[in-house]
Amino acid sequence: MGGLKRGLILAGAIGILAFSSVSRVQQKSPTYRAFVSNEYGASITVIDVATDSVIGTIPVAGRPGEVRPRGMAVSPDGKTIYVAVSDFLPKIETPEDKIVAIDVASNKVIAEYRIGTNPERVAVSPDGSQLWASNENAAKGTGFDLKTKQILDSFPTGVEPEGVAVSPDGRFVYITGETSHTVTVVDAKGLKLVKHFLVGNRPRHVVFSPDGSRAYISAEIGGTVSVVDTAQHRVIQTIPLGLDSRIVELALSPDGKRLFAAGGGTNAIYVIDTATNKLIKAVKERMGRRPWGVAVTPDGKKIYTADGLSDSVSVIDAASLSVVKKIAAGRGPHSVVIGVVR
Amino acid sequence: MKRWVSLLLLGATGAQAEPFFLEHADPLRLAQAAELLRVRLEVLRHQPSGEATEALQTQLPLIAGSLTAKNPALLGQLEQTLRQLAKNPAGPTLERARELLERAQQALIPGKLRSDPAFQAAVIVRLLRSEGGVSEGYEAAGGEEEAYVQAWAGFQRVKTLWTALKPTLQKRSPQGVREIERALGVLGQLLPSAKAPARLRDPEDAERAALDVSFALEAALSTQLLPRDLPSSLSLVRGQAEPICPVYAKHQRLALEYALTAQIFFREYLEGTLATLEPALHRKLAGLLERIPEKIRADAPTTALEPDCKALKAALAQAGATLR
Repeated sequence: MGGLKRGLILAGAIGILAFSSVSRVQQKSPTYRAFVSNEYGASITVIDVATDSVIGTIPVAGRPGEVRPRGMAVSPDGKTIYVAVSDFLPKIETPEDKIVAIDVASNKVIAEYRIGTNPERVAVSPDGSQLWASNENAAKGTGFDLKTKQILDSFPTGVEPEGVAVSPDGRFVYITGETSHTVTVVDAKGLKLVKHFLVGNRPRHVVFSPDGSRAYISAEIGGTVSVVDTAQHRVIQTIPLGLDSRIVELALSPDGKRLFAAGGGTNAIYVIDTATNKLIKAVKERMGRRPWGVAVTPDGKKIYTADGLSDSVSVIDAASLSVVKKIAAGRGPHSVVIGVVR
Repeated sequence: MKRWVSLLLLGATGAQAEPFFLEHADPLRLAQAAELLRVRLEVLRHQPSGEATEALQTQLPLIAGSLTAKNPALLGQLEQTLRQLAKNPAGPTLERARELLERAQQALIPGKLRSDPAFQAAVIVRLLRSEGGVSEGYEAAGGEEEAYVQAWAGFQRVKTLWTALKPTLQKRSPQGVREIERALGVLGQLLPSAKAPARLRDPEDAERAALDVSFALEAALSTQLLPRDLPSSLSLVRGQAEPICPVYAKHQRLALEYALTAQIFFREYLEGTLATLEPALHRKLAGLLERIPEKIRADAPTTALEPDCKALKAALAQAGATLR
C-alpha cells in the first residue's frame, strides 16, 4: 500500500470516527419533566427535572376546589400524562368527571376521556392501549380502550376504590378499596373479575414490581405496606412503618430494588429495600409537609414528592437519600409523575 | 417445667395492653351515644322537626339499659323530658333535657375516666368519625338539610370538648395541638354556621380533616383511639354481641342496648369489608343484627332469641376466619 493510499484510509477512518461521535452528541438524551396535580388549584405544575424549576402550569378545570385533579399515570413511552379529574357529586357523572391527557413535550391538553363517575386515580396498561380508572363513589373500576375511545367494561370493587395499577404483563388490574380494606383483581385481557382480597387498613395506592411478581399496597390507617405475591393474589408479608406514618403513594426505583413510600403523617419518605422488605431510611429532614405523592425519575437519580400541606415539591437525591431542593407548586399537591421528552 | 413455660407465656401475653378503644369499649360507646343525644338536642333547637325528635327516641335505647341499672329514676325523667320535647321543643325543656343528659353521663361513666385526657380524646374521635358524627353528617348533607345541621352541631360539641382538652395537650405536644387546630379550622370552614352554605364542598375534605384530628390526638397522647385492623374491629362487635342473650332474661333494655350497638359497630367497621369479600356472610350477619333488636322490642321469649344469638356467634366466628 502506497503512502498516499494509507493516508487516505487513515483520514477516512478518522472521519468516520469523528462523524459517529458527532452523531452520538447530536442524539439527544431524554429530558424529564415532573408533573404535579394540584388538588385545590385545579392545575398541573410542570417542573424541569434538570434544573428543578417550574416551567409551566396547566389548568385542568375552571372551578378550583370543586373540580379536582388527583391521581396521574404516564404512558409507557413517557410522552403522555393522564390525570384523573372529578367533581364531588357522588351519584351523577358530570362533564367534569374525566381523564385529561397532557402532551409532555408541549405541556398542552391533547384529549379528554369520560371513564365513569368520580375517577380518583388512573393507570395505563404497559402497551399503552388501555386506561383504568377507580370510580370512587360508584365503587367501580372502569377500563377504557384508547384506540376505539370506548369503555371496555366496569367492575365492582371494594368500598371507595382509589389506587389502581396494571401489571407489567398487562394481564391484571389491581384496584384498592379504601374503606373495605380490600384489593380487587380484574383480568384486563379477559375482562373478568378475578377476586377481592384483604390488605391493610385503608389501602390508598398500589404499584407492581418491574418483573410483575410482586405488588406493593399502602395502608394509610394501618401504617403498613402489604407485599403481594401476584401469582396467587395473596399478601405474603406486611411491612410496618408506624401507626402515625399515614402512607399513601408508593414508587419503585427503575430496577425495583427500592420502594419509596410517602408518609403524610410524619412528613417522611420511607425507603424500603425490596430484597429484605426492611426499612432503610425515613427521609424527614427538610421534607415538605404531608408528602402524599411520590415518583422516581426513569434514570433512578431523583425522587419527587407532592407535599399537600406546604404547597411544595421536595426533591430527594436517590444516592444520598436527602432532600436537595424544595420547589413551590400550586394549591394542595396530590400526586406527582415523571414524563419524558425524547 | 411445662407449667412454668405456660405461665411465662401467659404473663407475656397479659403484659400486652389492649388498645385504649378496646380496653374502654363500653364506657366509650356509652359516652358516644350520650354525646350524640346532646348533638340531636342541638339539632332540635336549630331545626325543630318530627324527624329530629324521632332521632332522639332512636338514640336513647343506646344508653337506656345501662342507665336503668345505675339510676332508673334519672332514666325515667329523661324519657319523660324527651316525650315532652316531641310535643313542644321549646327552650326550657331542651335545657332540662341537656341537664339530665349531663347527669346521665356522670352516672354512666366513672369520674376518673371522664377526666382522663385519652378518654376525652377518644370521645372527640368518635364524634368526628362515627355513624351520625361530623364527617358522615357532612357527607350526607349533600342531600339532606338536617344532616348538615347535625354535622354542624356535632362540630360545635367537638370544639367544646377540645377547648377543655387543649390545655393538657399544649404542654405534651404543641405541634400536635397546632395540627389539631389546623384540621379543626378546615372543619370550621366546611361548617361555618347552623345554616348550610349555598354550595357544599367535597365531603372528602371533612373526612380527611376528621382523620387528621384523630391521628394528631393519638400521636399527642401516644395511645390508640381508633381500630387499625379488622380483628380489633371484630372484637368491638363481639364485645357487644356476646352479652345480648345472657342478659336478655333479666335486663331486656340492656340486651337491646348491646344489640343496637353491635349493629352500629358492624355497619361502621365490618360491613364494607364483608360485603366485598363474603357477601353471603355479610347478608347473614346484617340480617341477624337487624332481627335480634326487633325480637327484643317485641318481647320475644328467651327461647325465640337464643337460636339467633347462637347463629350470630357462629357467624362472627366465621367472620373472624375471613378477617384475619
